[in-house]
Amino acid sequence: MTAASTSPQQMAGDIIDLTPRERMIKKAKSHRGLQFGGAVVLTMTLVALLAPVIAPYSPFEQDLAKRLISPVWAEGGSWEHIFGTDQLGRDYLSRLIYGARVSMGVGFGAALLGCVLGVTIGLVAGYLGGRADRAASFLLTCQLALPSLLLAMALVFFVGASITTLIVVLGCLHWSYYMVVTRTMTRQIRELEYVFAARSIGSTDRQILFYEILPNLSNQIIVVFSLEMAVVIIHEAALSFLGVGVQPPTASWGLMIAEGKEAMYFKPYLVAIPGAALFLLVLAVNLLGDGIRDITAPEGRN
Amino acid sequence: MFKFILRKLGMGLLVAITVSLATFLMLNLAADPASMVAGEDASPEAIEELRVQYGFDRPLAVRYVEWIGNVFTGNFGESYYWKRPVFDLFLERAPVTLTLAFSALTITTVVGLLLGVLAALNPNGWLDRFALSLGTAAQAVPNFWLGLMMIILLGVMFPIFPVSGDTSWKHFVLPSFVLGMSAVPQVLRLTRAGMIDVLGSDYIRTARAKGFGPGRILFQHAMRNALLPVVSVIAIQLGYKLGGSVVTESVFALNGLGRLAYESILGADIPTVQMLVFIFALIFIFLTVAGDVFNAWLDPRLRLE
Repeated sequence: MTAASTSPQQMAGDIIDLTPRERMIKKAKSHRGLQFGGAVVLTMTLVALLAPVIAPYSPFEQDLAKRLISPVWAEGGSWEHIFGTDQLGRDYLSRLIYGARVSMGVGFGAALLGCVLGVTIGLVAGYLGGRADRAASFLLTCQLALPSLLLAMALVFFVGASITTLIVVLGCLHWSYYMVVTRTMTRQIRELEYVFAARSIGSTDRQILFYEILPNLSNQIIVVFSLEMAVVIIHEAALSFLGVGVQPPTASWGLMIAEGKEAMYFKPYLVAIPGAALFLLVLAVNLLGDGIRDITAPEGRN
Repeated sequence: MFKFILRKLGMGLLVAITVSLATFLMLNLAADPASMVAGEDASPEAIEELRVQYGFDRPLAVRYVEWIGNVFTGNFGESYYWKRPVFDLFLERAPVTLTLAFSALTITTVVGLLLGVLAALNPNGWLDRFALSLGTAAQAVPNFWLGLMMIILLGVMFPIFPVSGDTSWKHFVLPSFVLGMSAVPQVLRLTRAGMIDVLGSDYIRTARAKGFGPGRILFQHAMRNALLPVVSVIAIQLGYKLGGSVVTESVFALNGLGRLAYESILGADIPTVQMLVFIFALIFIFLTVAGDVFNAWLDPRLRLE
């Protein structure tokens, strides 16, 4: 079931006979951003999941005799510690690998919580309309007015910084984008014939919402999910960088940058490496999201 | 039009009151204010004493009404940490942040508009690709890391601009650039999309057919319409810049509102945090209303809702 039917004239001639799935795969094969983003996100997910297996050293083990060893490409570096060591002699690659867990975990968790909240509010508002819709848009206006990074900092710090607090606070502050998309789409789909058909055969509101409307939103929701996940990853890193997020000795990329800051003038890699990892991950998540949007968009639209 | 403005202002007021309530509740429920003021090592008796002294033992509703009542008279309360009226702290620190926010916004607007228009002139050309890639990169780069990398590069290798402090205009160059770059993607994409849309429209074709030069078509015909949505986005971005100043000010050691927010969070100074969140929200609400009114003034169709 597709929400929008397309007229044959709009389709390019050679893909007219393909099923939607085949068309999607065909587009994916020539979409470089999607491939790059997907590959990096997949790799980072594996790295995060398999951290204890692939990390060469413990991320916590200090060796003060081996403080601030340069990475392998710099003078004084060796293959023993590819990315060098930090001020406490901890292997930087191992900390980077464990840091992927925090970024991916908080990013995924908070984006998922925001998704559940935003999609629920959006579905209810879009489907019921009227007073419920006005209440939801009022809630949205209020949410958008709040300075989210500042509020997140205060709440996480006041409640007590931990991974769970980060996920809950960031999730609760990042639902608006899902809500807007879900609400708009639900309002359109609500008026389509097949929803009338479902109602006429006796489907309840709940059945219509979950079996008729929600499946048609999945593509858009996945796109928003990836874009929000990118935002949340940056916010987590910023909070940890400022010392109100993930607490030492846990390895988080934001925290590693903060710790490396002290020595950044003579050991710039301490700041450069975790930041580059962060940049790469956020870039990949964004490209993946844009890519999914491109390949799932109905023909003839951009 | 007058009615439209009134309605928007009324809505803004309602949002402001709701936001103030939400902020108050969230911050006061997130932790026990008495034990935060007392510090980690305080005895239970000392905490109870502080609770009565600061009035934390009263119901939240009473405390909220007292706070918001005082806010209407311009009194945001007394800082627990600095032992001074928090609004004085705000007035002291505001100039630095306003300077930063406006100069960052200037950079965002100039870079975003310029690249957006240039990209739209030749979609899929090399300049368009360059602009879009730059936008994608700018969206993914963490603000604070970009700041630090610039400090490493420009502070050590090419010491042109000072990297820490806020005593001269030169100190604002790097922080404004860093804060400004973060919003370039939004302005760039919106400008580009708007321009491509408008440049393909009938009235532009007519203008071409009438023999107007490309400059006149671009500036007098196309940009006016294409930039309408950009105006409200830029207004909203100013609001975000104020909140985003927390990170940038900390990286470049600027002593503005972001720094104040950071210090008051670490000092568990709820009145200051409360004031800053609320004032930033107020500024955002005001900018949104102003943006709506401005757009309605330009396009009368928007006045009917």
